[in-house]
Amino acid sequence: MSAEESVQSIENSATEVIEHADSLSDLEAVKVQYLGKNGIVTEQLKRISSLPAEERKSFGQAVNRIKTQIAEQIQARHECLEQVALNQQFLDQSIDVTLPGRSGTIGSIHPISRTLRRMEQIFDQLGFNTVEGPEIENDYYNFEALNIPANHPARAMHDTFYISDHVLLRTHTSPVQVRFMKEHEPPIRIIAPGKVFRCDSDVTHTPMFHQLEGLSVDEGVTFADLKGVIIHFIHEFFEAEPKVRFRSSYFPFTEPSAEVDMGCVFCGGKGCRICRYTGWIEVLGCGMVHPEVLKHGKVDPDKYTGYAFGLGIERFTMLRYGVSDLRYFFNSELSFLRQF
Amino acid sequence: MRACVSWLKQWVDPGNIEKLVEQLTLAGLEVARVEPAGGLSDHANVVIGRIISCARHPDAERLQVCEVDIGREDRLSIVCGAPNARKGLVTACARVGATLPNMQVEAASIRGCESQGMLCSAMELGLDTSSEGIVEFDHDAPVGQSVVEYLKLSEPVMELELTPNRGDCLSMLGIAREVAEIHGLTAQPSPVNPVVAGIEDILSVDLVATRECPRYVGRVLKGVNYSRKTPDWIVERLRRSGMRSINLVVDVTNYVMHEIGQPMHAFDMNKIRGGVRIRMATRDEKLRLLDGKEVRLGSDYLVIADHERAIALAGIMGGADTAITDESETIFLESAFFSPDAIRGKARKLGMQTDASYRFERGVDTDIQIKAMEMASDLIISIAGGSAGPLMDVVSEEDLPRHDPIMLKPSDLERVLGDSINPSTTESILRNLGFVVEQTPEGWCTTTPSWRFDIQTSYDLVEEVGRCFGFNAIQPRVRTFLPNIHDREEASISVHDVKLRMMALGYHEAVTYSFVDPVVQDRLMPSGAAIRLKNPIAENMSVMRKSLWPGLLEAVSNNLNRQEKRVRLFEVGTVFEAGQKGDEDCREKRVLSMVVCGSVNPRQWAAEETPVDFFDLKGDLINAFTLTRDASSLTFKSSDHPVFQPGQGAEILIEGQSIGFIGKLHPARAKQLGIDADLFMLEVDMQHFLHAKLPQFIDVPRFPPVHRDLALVVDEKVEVTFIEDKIRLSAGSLLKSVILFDVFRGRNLDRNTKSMAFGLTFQSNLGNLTAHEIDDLVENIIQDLKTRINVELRE
Repeated sequence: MSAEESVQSIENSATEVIEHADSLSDLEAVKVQYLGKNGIVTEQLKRISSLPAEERKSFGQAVNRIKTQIAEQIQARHECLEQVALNQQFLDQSIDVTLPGRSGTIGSIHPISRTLRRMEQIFDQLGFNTVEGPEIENDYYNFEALNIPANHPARAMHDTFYISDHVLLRTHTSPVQVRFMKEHEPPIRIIAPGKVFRCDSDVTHTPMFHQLEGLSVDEGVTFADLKGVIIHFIHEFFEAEPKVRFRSSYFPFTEPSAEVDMGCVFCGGKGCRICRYTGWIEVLGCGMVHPEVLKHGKVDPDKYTGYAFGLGIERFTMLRYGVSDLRYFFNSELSFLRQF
Repeated sequence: MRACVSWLKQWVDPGNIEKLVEQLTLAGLEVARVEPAGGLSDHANVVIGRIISCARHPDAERLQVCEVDIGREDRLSIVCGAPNARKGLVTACARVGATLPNMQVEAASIRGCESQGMLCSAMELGLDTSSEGIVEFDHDAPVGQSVVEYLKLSEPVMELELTPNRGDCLSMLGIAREVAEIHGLTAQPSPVNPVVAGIEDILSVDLVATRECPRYVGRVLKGVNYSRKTPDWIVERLRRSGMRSINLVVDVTNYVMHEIGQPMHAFDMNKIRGGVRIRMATRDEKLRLLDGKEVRLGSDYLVIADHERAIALAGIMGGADTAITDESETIFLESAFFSPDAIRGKARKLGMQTDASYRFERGVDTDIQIKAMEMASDLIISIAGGSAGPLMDVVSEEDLPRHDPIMLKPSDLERVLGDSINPSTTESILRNLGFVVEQTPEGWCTTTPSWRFDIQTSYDLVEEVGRCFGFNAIQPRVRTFLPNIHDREEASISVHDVKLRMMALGYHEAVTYSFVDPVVQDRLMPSGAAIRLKNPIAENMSVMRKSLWPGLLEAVSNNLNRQEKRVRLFEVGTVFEAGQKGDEDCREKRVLSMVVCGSVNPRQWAAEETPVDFFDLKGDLINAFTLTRDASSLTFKSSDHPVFQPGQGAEILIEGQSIGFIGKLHPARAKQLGIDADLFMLEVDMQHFLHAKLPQFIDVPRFPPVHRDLALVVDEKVEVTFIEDKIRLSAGSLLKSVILFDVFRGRNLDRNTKSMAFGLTFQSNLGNLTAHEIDDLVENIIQDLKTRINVELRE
C-alpha cells in the first residue's frame, strides 16, 4: 500500500466512523481518535518529518487534506447531531396550546354606567359638559324653582321621599338646571346625570333610578334646536335612524313641553309587545325652559331662551340591550352583571 | 278621562277614529286606549225583551218561569232566578245560541222546565263587574231590538291621559273643543233651556269666603219623584265615563259634570238649618262626609255650612247629615265656582280624591255655573217631575278670575319655536280654541276663554299655537359648537377610568339602593348619625346609607346563596351623613367600595386555589390607585374599626389624612349577614382618585445599579413601613429602591420575632459605586436601625 493509499484508507474509515457516530459524545471520541494529540491523523502528521524529502511534500499534502476533510465531516456531523438533539428537546417541551391561559377573571361595568358613558360621549361631541348636583335636595330646587308651587297638581306625579318638611330626595335631575344657571352665565350647555328617587315600587318602578338632564341656554335657542339635538342623540345612541316624533305634553318647568317617541326598534314600528302594539316607544320628555325657571336661575328671559330634556337611563339601557326587567339593575346578581 | 264618540258628536263629527287618536295624542291629549263601549258583540241573539208574565217554577221556590216578548209572534219561555224579574219589566234576553262576553247560552231544562234562553244581568252583558238581578231597561225601550244596537255597544270609547294643566278637558265639551280644533272648527256649546220657576222657595245664601268662592249658584227643587229610574241613555253615558248609576239626582249631577265639567252637589234641604253659608272652617271643626268618614278640619278648609255647622267640604265632598235620601221632600242643588287655590292639596291632605276636587283643583270654567244648574234642573224635572224654585246666583265679581288680554307677536312664535308660522294659521288656531283675537299693529291682542286656567302669558299662547300647528312640522336644526375644553385637564381622571381599572382587576360593578336597613347599617357602622326618611317604602329601606357596605354585603350574601363562591364587587356611589345643623345639613360624599371573597384566582388548571386575604385586596387598591401615578402616597395604619376582625383592619391615609378603611369583615357581622366566607372589604373617598400627578422627567442613570439583600430579624410587632422608612432615611439618595421580598417566621427564630428580607438597589448618577461604598452604606443602615429597635442581621 502506497502512502497515499494508506492515507486514503484512513479517510475512508474515518468517514464511516463519523457517519456512525450517533451522539455528540461518540462524535467527540471519534474526533479524539483521529485528530487528538495521539490520534491517527496526528500520528501521520508526526511521520512527515521522518520521510524522505521527496515524499514529504506529497504525503504532507495528502495528510493535511484528509485532516481538513475529517474535521469538516466531524463539524457537519456535529451540527446534524445538535439539530437532532434540539429537535428532541423541542419535542419534549412541546405543549397543548389549547390549554386555557393562566389568568384571573375580568370584571364588568354596570350596564347603567355603560349607557351613561355612551350618552356622555354623544353629548360631549355636541358641546355639552357633564355636571352633577346633590341627591338630597330641598323643596325650593326640586319643586318651587321649577315652577311647581306647593299643592300644584303636578306634585302628585312625583311620589316624593321626604327627610323633613323641606328636605327631600330629588325626584328628578331637573334641580341641577337652576343650580347651574345661578352659578354660570349663558351660553350654557350641560348634561346632568344621576340618581333620582320616588316612593313607588312595582314591576315597572323601582324607588331609585337614574335620569339624565340636559340644558342649553343661549341667545336664539329654539325648539328647532331642541329637535335637532334630540333626533341626533337618538340616532347616535341606537346607531339606527328610527322615526322620532314630538308630542305635546306638560311639565311645569318647560313651555312648550313635549314627550318624544321613537319608532319601536324591536318591530320597526309594526307593533309588538314592547311598544304595546302602538309602533312607538316613549323615550324622553323635553321642552323650552319656562321663563319663570330662567328667572329662578338669574337668567334674563327677555334676552335668553333655552331648552331642557330629561330621560331615564334604565329605559335606554333596556331598549339598547334588551333587558327585560328593571329590577335586574339593582339586585347585583353576578349572572346578570357578567353579561356587560 | 273617557270619551265616547257618540257623545262627542253632540258638538263635532270626530271623523276617522284611528286618525283622531293620533292627532289628539300629538296635540297633548294622550289617548292610552280605544275600546268598544261594551264587551257584548252578539248583535243577533241578545235582544230587548218584555216579561209578559211570571209564574212560580213548579219545582223550585226561587225560580220563576217567565213568558218573554221579543217582538216576534212566538214568545219565549225562560226560567229565571233573579228576584227583580217581574211582569212588565223590559230587560235583556239572550236566546239559545247567544254569545255573551263570558258564556254561551244553550237550551236547557232547569228542574224539569225547559228554558228557551236567559234573562241577563249587567254583569252577564259585560256592562259591569258585579250586579244584582237582571238588567232593567227603560219601559219604552224597543222590544226585539238588538241590545248591542240599543246601547250602541260597538261604538269606540277613548281613554285619555290628561296632563294636570288641562282641567278644561275633564268634560266631553272640553274634549270636543280639541277635536273641533283638529278639524279646523269651533265647538259651539249646546243651547240651554232655562227652567221657569214653578215655586217661590229659596234658601238664604251667605257668601262669606268670596275669594275662595267667588260664585255660588243654588236652586230649590220640590216634588221630584225619586223612584224614577235614570234613563238608559244617561246610565250608558255615565258607564262609558266610568261611573255607576246611583240614583236619578246623583246621576244627573254626574252627567252634567261629565258633559260640561261643572261638579254639583245636592242637599236634603229640610236638613239644612237656617240657610247656607260659604265660609272657612274653624279650627278642629268636625264634619262627617258622605262616605262615612269623619274629618277634622283647619281654618284653611273651605266649607259649606248652615247656620249651625259645616254641612259639606266645599269642592270635595258633601256631608252625611244633609245627604239626600229616598224620603227627601225638597232638594237644594249647588253649582259653585271654587277657586283652585282654595281646593288644591286639601283632598290629598285628607287622603282622598274625588271627581269634584280633581276638577276644582285644576280649574272649572268660571262661566258655566248657571248653565249647569239649568241643565241639571231641566233634566231632573223632565224625567222625574217636580218644580224648581228661582235661580239664586250669588257672585263676587271682583273675586272671579280675570283674564287680562295677552299680546302675542309673530316674533314671539319664531323666537321660541324657531320656525315661522303663517299668521292666518296662528289666528285660526287661537279662534278655534275659543280665544277672542284682535289684530293690532304690534300683533294679536287675545282674550283667553273662561275655561282655560293654564294661559297667563304669551309663552302659553306660543305653546298653544305650537302644539296645534304640530311640533313635528317644525324643521329640526343641528348647530355645531366649539367644544368645551376647559374641564378636561390632562391630570384629571374620570370615574369611568377608575371603573375600567376595577373591571380589569376582576371586579363587577354593582348599583345598590341609597337607602338601607338601619339595623344592618348600625351593626356595620355604629358611629355617625344616619339620615332617616319620613316616608320610606319599607323599614329595611328607611335610612340613607353612610357607606356602600350595607348594600354591597347584602349583594355578596345574595350571590353566595346563588352558589357563587368567588364574589368580587365594587360600587362608586354617594354616601350621606347628617351634619350638626339639623335637617338642612345633609352631607354627601362619593366613595369607592370594594368587597371580595373566595379564591384569588378562578378555579383553573394552572394556578392553585388559594383563598383571598387582606393583601390581595390591598394590592388591588394600590393597583387602582396607580392611576394617580402617586400610589406611594397611600399609607395604612392598623385600625380597630368595629366592622373588622380585630388585628385585620386598617385606616387608609394620604399624607396623614384619613381617606378610608380596609380590612376583614368581623366573623360575627358576617354571620349576621349570612355570609359564610372570609370577606375583605374597603371603602375610600373617591375624590382622591380623580387627580393624577403628571410625569416629570429625571435624568436616566448612566451607571450600573448595585443590589444588596438584607435579612433582618425583628420583634413581631415591628411594622415593615417603619423599617423601610428608616432604611431610606439612613441610606440617603443613593438608595433607589427597597423591596421586601420575604417574611419568615419560626424554625430557628425566637417566638415573637420574624425575619424580613429586603432587596436594596443603589445607584449613582455620578459614577460607579464601589463595593466599599456600598458596604459602608449598608453598615450605616444597620447601625441606625440598631439604635431604634432590637434588630439582628440574619445570615
